[in-house]
Amino acid sequence: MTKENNAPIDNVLRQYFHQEMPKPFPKAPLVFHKPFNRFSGVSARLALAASLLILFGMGLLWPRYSTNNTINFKSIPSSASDDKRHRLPLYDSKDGSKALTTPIAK
Amino acid sequence: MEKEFEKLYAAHGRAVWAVAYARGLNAEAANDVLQETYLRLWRKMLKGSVIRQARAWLIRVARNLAEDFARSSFQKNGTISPEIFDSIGSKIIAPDSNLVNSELKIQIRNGLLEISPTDREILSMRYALDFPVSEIAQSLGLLPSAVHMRLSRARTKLADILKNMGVEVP
Repeated sequence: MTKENNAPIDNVLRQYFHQEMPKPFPKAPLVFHKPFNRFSGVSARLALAASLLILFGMGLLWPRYSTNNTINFKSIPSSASDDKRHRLPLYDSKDGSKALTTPIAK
Repeated sequence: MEKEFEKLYAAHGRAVWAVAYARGLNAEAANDVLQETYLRLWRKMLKGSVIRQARAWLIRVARNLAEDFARSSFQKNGTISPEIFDSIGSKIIAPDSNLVNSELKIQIRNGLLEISPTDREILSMRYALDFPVSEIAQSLGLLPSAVHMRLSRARTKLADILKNMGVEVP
């Protein structure tokens, strides 16, 4: 087969292989040396810093606004003789018929 | 190391694809083989292994993987062959030119399957990548004169096969 005769089969083959070739050509496999290397870039770091800041802020503010954890230091008895210490109702578990009493009522 | 990896992909990725494609003439399988070949290269690099002739190593691995893929049970007993897929009809009537093109494509594919895998590799590199003979020879570990000869023979053989199929090469 001469060079001139090759031209048609050349064109046919070129067309065939060019059609088969993926376009765009696939990218290289994603391989990373370090496990957290993918979390990179300015935006990713900013997002990380912002989320840490929010968590830190929540840690500071949460106890202040929570009523369950509030300790009112003014209500604590100033001394051991303070009668406020004994005003809590007492309950005798052995005798269920007795009413609730307090040491002061006795 | 990542930069080196990317560089090797840019330099030899297409040649690896062409070799993988030449084995089974399946573009999707060639893509998979390409990815797997480079993953193996990456693992080698992580281990600190030195690969002196990267292109030769990559092509050897791609050939083996393509061979394994062709032998796999899925490929042998696979669901539906590309020829059957191509022959599935549609409610939308394709233009005549498209029909002729797809028929010609199937015939070329069948013709290519009749020539040797090495000749297919040479044709694939020559026509998919437009590689010069010297580069094909270097990639496949052959002499340039041998590549010239095989290229010429493969073209002639393929032209004869297509002629016997009744294909009129435009």
